[in-house]
Amino acid sequence: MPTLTRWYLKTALLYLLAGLVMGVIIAAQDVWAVMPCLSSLTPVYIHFLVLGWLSQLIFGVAYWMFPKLPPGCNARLHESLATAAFFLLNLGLLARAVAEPLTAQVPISGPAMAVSGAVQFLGGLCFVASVWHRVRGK
Amino acid sequence: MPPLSILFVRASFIYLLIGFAAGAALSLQRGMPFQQAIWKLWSVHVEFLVFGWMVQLAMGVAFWILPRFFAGPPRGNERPMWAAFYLLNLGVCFCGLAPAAGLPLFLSLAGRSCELLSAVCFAVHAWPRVRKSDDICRADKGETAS
Repeated sequence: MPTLTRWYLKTALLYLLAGLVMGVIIAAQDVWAVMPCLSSLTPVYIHFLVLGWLSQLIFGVAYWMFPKLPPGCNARLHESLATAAFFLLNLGLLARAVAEPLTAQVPISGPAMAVSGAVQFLGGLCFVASVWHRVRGK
Repeated sequence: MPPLSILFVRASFIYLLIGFAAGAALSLQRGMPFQQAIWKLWSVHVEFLVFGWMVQLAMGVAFWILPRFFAGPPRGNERPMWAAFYLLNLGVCFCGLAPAAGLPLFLSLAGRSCELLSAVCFAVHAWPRVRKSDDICRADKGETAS
């Protein structure tokens, strides 16, 4: 299994755990109403599970399993794009996790939210660019 | 990778990019509100990423990876998968774009119905392929592949 795939998969597992912990916290908040601000974790919870866990799992396995690049393609460039995708996605997701609950209270968190979305988009773009030519027949 | 899988996977990547772009616009609006109408992209974001990206990718990879048949066409009858492809994409477009464009609700209903039919077509194709591969079956019986 390539190193980058291991990064993707292990990180995805961490997001799965973190997401599920968040789910417990949100459910507990619904039951006992300990801290109202905990309800703002819901978008973070969803993104941790859908993007952090599911999508990263898919990215990692696709990077590993898809057919090799056709001759003439720059393998190093494609590997760099896949690596950039890993860092951009996780940076964006973690920035969102910090900024989202604080959006109403801390002024800087608004721009941080905006930037996190753009960074995640760039991560997705890098990943698609890295594997597009590997989606091919023999 | 067979041509139909290539179609499914590349389509899923396009939905991934559009869904992420919609998400970026929504994050921008969330963090630095500038245009209330951006919230209409919510249906695009969710529909395109869940059904257009994940479900479609899963279908495409399943069509590629599931055990093949030893006799006859290796991947069995491909027509249900072609139907699944067109129905899923029609459904995703209806369900994602109709609410965003303020179109009548029955289009969303039509979209969901297309997605359901797509799933039925996929299941019709995939069900017989969820099995031991023919090579393994023959080895179990003590036969060898020619």
